Amino acid sequence: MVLNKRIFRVLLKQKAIYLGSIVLVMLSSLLYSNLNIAMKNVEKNKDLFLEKTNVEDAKIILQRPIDDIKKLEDEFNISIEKRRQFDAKISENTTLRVFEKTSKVDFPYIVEGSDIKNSNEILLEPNFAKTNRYNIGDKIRVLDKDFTIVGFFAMPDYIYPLKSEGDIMVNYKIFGTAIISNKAMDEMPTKGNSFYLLKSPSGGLEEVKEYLGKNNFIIFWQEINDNPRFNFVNAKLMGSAKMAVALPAMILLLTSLLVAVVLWRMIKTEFTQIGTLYALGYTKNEIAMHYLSFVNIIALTGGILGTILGLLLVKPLSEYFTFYFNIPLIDNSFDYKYILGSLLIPYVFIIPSMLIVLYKALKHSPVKLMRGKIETLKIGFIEKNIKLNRLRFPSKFKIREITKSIPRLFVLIFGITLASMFLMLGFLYRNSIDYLLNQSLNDVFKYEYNYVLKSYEASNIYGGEEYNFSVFKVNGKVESFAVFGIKPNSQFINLVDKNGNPISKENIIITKPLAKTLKVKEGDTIVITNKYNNDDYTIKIDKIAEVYTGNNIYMPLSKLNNLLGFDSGSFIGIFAKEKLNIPEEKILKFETKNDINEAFKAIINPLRVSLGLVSFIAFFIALIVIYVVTGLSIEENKTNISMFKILGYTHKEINDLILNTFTIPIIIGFVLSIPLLIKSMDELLNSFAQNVDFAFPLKLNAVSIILGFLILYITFEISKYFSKKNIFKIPMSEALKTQRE
Amino acid sequence: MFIQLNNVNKEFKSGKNLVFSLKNISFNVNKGQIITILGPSGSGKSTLLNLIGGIDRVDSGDILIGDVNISKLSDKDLTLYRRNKIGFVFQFYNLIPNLNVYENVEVAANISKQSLSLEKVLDSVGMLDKKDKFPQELSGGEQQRVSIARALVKNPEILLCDEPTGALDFKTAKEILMLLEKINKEYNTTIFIVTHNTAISSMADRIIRLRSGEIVEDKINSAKISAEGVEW
Repeated sequence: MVLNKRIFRVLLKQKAIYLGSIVLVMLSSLLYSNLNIAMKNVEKNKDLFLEKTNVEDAKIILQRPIDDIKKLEDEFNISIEKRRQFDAKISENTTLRVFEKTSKVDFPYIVEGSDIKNSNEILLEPNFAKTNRYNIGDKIRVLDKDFTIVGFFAMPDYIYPLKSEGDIMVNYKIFGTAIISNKAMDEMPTKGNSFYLLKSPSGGLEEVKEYLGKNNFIIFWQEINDNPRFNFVNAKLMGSAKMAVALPAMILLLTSLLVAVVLWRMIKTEFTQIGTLYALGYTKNEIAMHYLSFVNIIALTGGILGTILGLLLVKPLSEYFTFYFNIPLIDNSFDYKYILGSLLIPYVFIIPSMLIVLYKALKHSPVKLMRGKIETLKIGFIEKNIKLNRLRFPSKFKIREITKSIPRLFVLIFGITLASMFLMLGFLYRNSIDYLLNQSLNDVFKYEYNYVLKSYEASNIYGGEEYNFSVFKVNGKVESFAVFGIKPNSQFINLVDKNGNPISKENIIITKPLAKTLKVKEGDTIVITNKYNNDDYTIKIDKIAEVYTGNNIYMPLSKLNNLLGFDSGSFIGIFAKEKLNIPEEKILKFETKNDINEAFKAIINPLRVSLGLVSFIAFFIALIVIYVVTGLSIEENKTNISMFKILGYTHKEINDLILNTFTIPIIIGFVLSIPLLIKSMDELLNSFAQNVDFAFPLKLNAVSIILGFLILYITFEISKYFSKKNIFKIPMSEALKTQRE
Repeated sequence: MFIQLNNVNKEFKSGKNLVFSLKNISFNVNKGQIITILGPSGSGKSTLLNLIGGIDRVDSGDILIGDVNISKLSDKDLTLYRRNKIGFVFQFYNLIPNLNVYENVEVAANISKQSLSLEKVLDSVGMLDKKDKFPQELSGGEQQRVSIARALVKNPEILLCDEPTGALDFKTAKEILMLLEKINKEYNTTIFIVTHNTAISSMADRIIRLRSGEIVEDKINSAKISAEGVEW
């Protein structure tokens, strides 16, 4: 169609506006293709990896060793493998957890290098090796013995290699895993701990548990899905998968609204041409096809560019994910349906909004269109009824301008809200972690050292403050949580209610995340089931504690022991301020407060890239939205601006009238973003909180809010700087030559 | 002399050639006069008005308003000149559609230090009772009244009207002319009226006729009649 020759002329004339729309489409296509493909890639590789390494179904510790593993295996048709492990300090702050190599369950997958053959060879976890600069062929000294690093490995029950299960983030600087041969393990000076790894291909774990409960004593029983080192990856992927749909969808929704507003403006200025084309005999469809070409160019260019960039970034993102989780990239291939989706989705969003706008214009008769006016006689309800008499003229003008086009106002506020949500995400994360660390963690847990013993003891000869715990579940709601028995006068656990008042430890106290998941209130009664023996217990929750880490219940030590049928003074753990002199062979787990703090501090570092990227996207969205909406306003006000110049307004006065009009909507958008961000993040975290043993106290402090607003304001100023040039270019003759639309 | 134009030239580009839009224009005007500028399309009428109004610059020559040579003013000073001394009335009114009548007049009052009372001005143009109406709710004549009020509220010394009746019917056009005459008398405002309509010149003190950028006639109207008597 000859008419289409003008498309590029029009695009070039208002290149900033169309370029902005293309960039937004590109951004959403990029996010869609990249996040989805990378996510699927990680998921696919995870499944392949788990299959290849025969991941365990459960990991257990028993009071006494199993006498005849083979007999048990045959009886219950399961695989059982004992795996020994110990922690070794390889530098002042770095701990290496060394496992012996298994051959039936959870065996290592060699990512790089070769498998161990001799007792002086060792495999390292690759991210730990990379962070601490260990290469294949290097020597590493573990408990006074030198090992040669022969390869890097991944292990299915340590996909997310947390030092302690209470940690929420890996820190490769201070903790890593390694594998040595059985022979080397025999030769080590420490006995360490041993777990039994159970694999039951045909189910039937419950029977094994029952049997062991009767014939032995289960100290620790953890099914694979309760293992945070395993299930964090699912939680993280689930969260990311939601983001992979939500982020592009929000940006595309914004883009489609923006494009609709831009094209409606264009069509409005071209009513006369459209009417003339009608009169010349063009059909509605022919005219519609012409205008759809603009949308086609935006969607196609943005879609193609975004998809290409998205595909180019799949490998870095997959690597980034696999840095988080030690999953080997076994098969790095693309899922083509996401490529197609990434190209088509922009159309799904933009075309309908465009069609609505187009047919709104095309329903009018050629004569009406040729007159160039179809709506001018209408005065909006708000315009008519708003009382501005007491205001100064600049304020009146700005309010009139804001209320002139409600769709435009909506796009602006929506865009700013969206951009501000992205922008504040980093701040939210940082403030929440600070709060978690300072207000929650350090104020609640006053101990410096936490020991978990290998077996229950009756009297504390070591010092410190003894405690007991056992693992429970609530059927159908929570798979795993700990119930702690602590001393009613505990010096090391300090629980407070939501007002910050201390809660007496004579009560049965539930932590906030667990209360939220179980939907319990103070005074409610719940039935909890012991994970080790499946016995049910009914307890009444007295208080909810404002603690964000830990799906825990606290009760007096004697009460828990009584519940479990133990002696009233039995314990398995000790909190202490000083290091205690406990024989190493008695210790199952040992953690210091410093380890926890370090892990928290390490949270922000690996996220810096992604939060930086999100902030960058936020900046662009805000800039584009403000610039396009301001651009539209300038375009619509061309004659007015020209007239202001004739009347003797200075550039500064005109800039203030036109460009500062949107200050209030921008502030509204920003203000709206804060509760919306907290609410949506809360929903997102809640959706996978059941699998994860912590909840984020979503906090944003005043400094962050001010800083966030300042960034947005600078973006606004940058956009104004570009817009000023456009205002400056409008000649005074504009008002003289044109009859008003 | 209140306004003096000395050898004013203005050129414009037509393809590769420079064409005179105004050539050697010189005339003087006393304060409080009504001047009509007549001539066919392209004769340079509007260009002349734009130069006097300070929205365009001469290529050569001088325009003195009082004792200020506006052709030598900086952009900033020219803006202040327009702000303080000039009122414009356009053929198509150029009202801001989403501002009501009162606010459209306030656009000008907002930047003027010597502005007149808005109510008084609206009353004098007969639009006070419609001050809350929007331009779309007004007739052409009413819109032009608002446009005149907007020009007048700054209490300008010079009122420049470019085809003020060009889009109006006879009766309304005559009402507008009467209004301009009233303003001239009440505020002693010097008024330039650019028009195709030769009949309008009968209410002027001075008639300047242009053709192809040159003055072909410049005469004092000795047979001046009141606007009410203007017929065409």
